[in-house]
Amino acid sequence: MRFATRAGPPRSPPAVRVLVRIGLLAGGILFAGLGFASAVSSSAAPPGRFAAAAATGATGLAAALWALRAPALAQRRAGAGAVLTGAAVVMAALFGAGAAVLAAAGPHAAVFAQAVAGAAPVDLLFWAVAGFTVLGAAGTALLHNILHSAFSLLATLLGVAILYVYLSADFVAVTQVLLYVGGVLVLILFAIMLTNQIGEDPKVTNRSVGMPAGLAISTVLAATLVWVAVRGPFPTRAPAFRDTVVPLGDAFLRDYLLPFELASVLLLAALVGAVVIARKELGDEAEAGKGAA
Amino acid sequence: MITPSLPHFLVVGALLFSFGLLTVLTRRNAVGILMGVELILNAANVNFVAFNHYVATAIAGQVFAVFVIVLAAAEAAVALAIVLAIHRSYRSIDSRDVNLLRE
Repeated sequence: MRFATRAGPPRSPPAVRVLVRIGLLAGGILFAGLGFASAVSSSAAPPGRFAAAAATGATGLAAALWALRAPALAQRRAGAGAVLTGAAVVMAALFGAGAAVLAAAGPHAAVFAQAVAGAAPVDLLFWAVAGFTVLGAAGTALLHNILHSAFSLLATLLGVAILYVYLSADFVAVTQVLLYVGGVLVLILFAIMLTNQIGEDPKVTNRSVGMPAGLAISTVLAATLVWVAVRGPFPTRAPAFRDTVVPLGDAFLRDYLLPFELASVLLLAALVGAVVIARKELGDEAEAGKGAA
Repeated sequence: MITPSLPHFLVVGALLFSFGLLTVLTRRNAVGILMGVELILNAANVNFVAFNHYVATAIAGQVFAVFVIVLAAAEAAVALAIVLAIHRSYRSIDSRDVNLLRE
């Protein structure tokens, strides 16, 4: 009862707070363990390293302690002794788990760290861009507000454009930025703003249904595709980076001339069709005029 | 291992495709479904260009990618026009509300 309701600024939802707290707790404990362990083992090393390790440990400990005494636990209305005991148990369990993970993954982590340290910055940038792209796709699929989904799609489209650069497709990359980011995405944003009331409840304006089944289907699909991608016996050649604009132009006007012309006809049809579909009916306006008069 | 090669790009394409399929399957908002379709088209494009870079010797993959981008632009223009027309007559773009062929 001592920790009864406190007036304060509006808070984020409890689930988020609890997750943040648990993350802070686990991370803090991991950092504290790693820092103190390396401080102990590097006591013979130069003092700078020792101080850095000790500071890391102290920071992690402080973070973990802050996470522990934050109000989510206090709101359980338990006594201080119970809270402290529980905290000690949780800390011990997490510390043990962290130590076990470290012992199991330590050698791999060292190999991995060596590979990362020896890699070219361009290769590391690829991983950042790939993660950015996939995260954007996840946001498009999972975010509640449809406007957030659209901006998440922007991240994906830009990331894909950068991936094209990695694949020696300069023209396609620029086309991606111009047409997708500059055209399609702006159209999508227009459609959102012309149809949805942004301030409305996102649960109404952007519902997701059947999420468990959808997640199951797409997880199975992703696993299958990834398995094929990793195991597939593709006869790869040594990749060469070259200028692609001239070969593309040649291909469009020689081998792919008919599809190229058909695409222009299709664009004309889409242009006319979009205008015809999206304009107001003439009859509607006449009726509206009568109603006003 | 760290250096990107063909499987890395194929995995990115596979994940994009799966998230796009998830979007198409679960969204009720017509614009949301369109965004899922864009994701799927982008996944196919990544695969086209990746195979063109690592497997093929000609440039056909990039030609196809450009065609896909053109088709996606046309598709987005027409589909969003349809979405606006639906919104005018139904006051909603929830895909479940749209169940009549006539006005």
